[in-house]
Amino acid sequence: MNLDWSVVWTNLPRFWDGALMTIWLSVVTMALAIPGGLVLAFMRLSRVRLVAKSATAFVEFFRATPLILQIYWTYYVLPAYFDIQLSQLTTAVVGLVCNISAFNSETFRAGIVSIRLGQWNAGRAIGMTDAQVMGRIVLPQAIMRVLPALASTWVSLFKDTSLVSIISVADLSYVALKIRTESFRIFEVLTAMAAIYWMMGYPQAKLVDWLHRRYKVAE
Amino acid sequence: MQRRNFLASAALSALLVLGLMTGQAMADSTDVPAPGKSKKIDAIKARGSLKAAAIGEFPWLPENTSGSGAQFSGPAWVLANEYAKRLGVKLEIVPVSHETKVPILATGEADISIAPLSVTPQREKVVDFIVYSKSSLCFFGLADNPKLKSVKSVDDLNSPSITMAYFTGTPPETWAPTRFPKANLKGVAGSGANAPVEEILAKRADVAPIDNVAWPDLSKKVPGLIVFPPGDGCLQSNEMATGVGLAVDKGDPVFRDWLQAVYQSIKDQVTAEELRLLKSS
Amino acid sequence: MPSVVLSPITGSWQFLLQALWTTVVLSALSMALAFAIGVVVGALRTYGGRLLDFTLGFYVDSMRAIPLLVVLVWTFFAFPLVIGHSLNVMTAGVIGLGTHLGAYMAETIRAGLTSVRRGQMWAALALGMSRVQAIRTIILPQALVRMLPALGSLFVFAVKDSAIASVIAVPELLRQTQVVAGNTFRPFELYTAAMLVYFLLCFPVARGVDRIYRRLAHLGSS
Repeated sequence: MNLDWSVVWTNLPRFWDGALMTIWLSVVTMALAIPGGLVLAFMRLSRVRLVAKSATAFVEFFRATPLILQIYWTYYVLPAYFDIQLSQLTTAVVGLVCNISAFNSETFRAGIVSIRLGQWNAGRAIGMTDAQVMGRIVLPQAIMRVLPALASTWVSLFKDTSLVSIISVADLSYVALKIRTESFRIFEVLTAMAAIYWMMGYPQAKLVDWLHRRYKVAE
Repeated sequence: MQRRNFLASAALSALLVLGLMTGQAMADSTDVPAPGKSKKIDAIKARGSLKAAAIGEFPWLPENTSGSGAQFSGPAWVLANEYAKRLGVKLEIVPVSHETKVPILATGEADISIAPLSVTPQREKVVDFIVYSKSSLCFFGLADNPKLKSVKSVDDLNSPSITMAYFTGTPPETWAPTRFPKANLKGVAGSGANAPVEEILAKRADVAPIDNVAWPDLSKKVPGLIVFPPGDGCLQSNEMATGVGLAVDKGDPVFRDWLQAVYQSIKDQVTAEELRLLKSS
Repeated sequence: MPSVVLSPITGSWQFLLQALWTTVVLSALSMALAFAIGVVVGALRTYGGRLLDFTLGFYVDSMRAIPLLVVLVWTFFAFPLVIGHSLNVMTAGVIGLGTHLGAYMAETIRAGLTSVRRGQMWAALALGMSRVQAIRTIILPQALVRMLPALGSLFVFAVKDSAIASVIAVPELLRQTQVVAGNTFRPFELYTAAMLVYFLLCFPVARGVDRIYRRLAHLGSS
């Protein structure tokens, strides 16, 4: 097996553009999926049954079906059947945001519920409204507690962005696979693709471990 | 004198016929080459299977989705089975995508690629073809697309306001920029369909190319489409007229010649299969 | 909105059913491989000393960093070039999925093993058992019961991730749905049906494991 690594070096700018797109997708998705997850979590905790049930249905559906299929469905079905015209990039973001919001909502819900009821009662006892209790006492603590879980979701999201390559969004996977097809240098390009993801992802994984240790909650 | 002439000409004809027959037998290129002549054939026989890279495409290798029966049908399938039969091995299908259906031959992971392939100059540099059919392109779009109202011929599609979608890894990828330099070209990943119909239905692109033999099937299954060259002109289209065939890696001319000879000998059967599929759609 | 038609599904239901079977088999096999890897790696990381913990930690964290799509593509296209032997798509799929899931499985098992009180291991060693015997007969069974919810959710991962194998053309449910959608030009009905099938496959497993765990939890407590 004769290897020719020059194909990697000559295409470095394209790999770089792909990596930037991967990072951009992760950042934008998380930026939208945190508020999205919060909204869904509140809906699930709502006392209005219809609201709670529909939010639960949304969350369970997005957690139990594969992300790759969600992306295909959004891509093929939304425009043709519901006349919603989205570019490929927007479609990818919509699919990712719906999926990650569902996972985030579970994380937030668990966090909110883990704050002892005593704090709610104490807040109400001194005359706060439920909204004030939520906003000033419960939520800040809940967010600190879920930070490690959110960080884990971020690392997963980073990997999930590779799936947008199937609808030809120019992330790192798409770019790398294209270079592989053009150059016929299969081993070099695929190993380089894995290595670049590793270089981006490994530090993040270690950071998440550190977060888990640092923010461990012992009550 | 008469009898001697008659005898002489009879003997001469007999000798001629004998000579022709022997000559024919000696030159019957559909015989499987002897061991040692072709490395590929020896490897195939040792392995016990002929590895054929395939991805379904109507009408040359349609994939059977009924759940029972052979995996594929079509002229390419007929040929592949004939090859396997003559080599005395079984036919092993290696699934590929459009991007890998040609490069896989260079890796040796497949002996032949029976995915329907258009003969293009770029491909001819790396593989040899056994051509069994031909095709040209037509271009289709939504009938109610306002941008297509002013389009009367294929040349009108060469305009910056037109977006054309194509499958990456297929010939339009390299041909379209030369034919339609002004249009916006958009590559999408494909798997088994003839044309990126979803791009058209989703209104992400205005037109897409399709093999002219596959157009009738598409126009029946999806209403509301319009084609250029319009109407019956599609079947006479000459846009990117190429041969269609299966491919084998360069470097083993004995193998290639044998494949070609076998095709020649069952040519009618292969063509009949294609016509059968076109008629039944 | 264009019409909805059921014929593309009914016309190819056997084909799609075979594909569903392939999905189930693929998920089960990759789960089995992941479990084997997970037990070995998890046990070695817990009981094997710092060097092993560090080296194996490298494998685990690498699988957290590299997307499954990349692992699968590399396993099918690049790995054969290394071993000089080609892989068929199913084998490559199981190896890729199993290796990737194995990292998560190892972490789950490691957490389960460390949750069993250390006193039990000392007691076993004091009784003259070897480490391996202690792990096999005392620690692991209790740990497995505690890990049931996590294992259930890993199974759901296995099923969802099996869909990614479609990119290397494994004939599982998503891939074959694409083929039928390509032939019939009716993506809406087919992809929606596929979504429902995956949901029906995964949702009960997630809930079911919770139920079973509630019944068996006492077996794992100490």
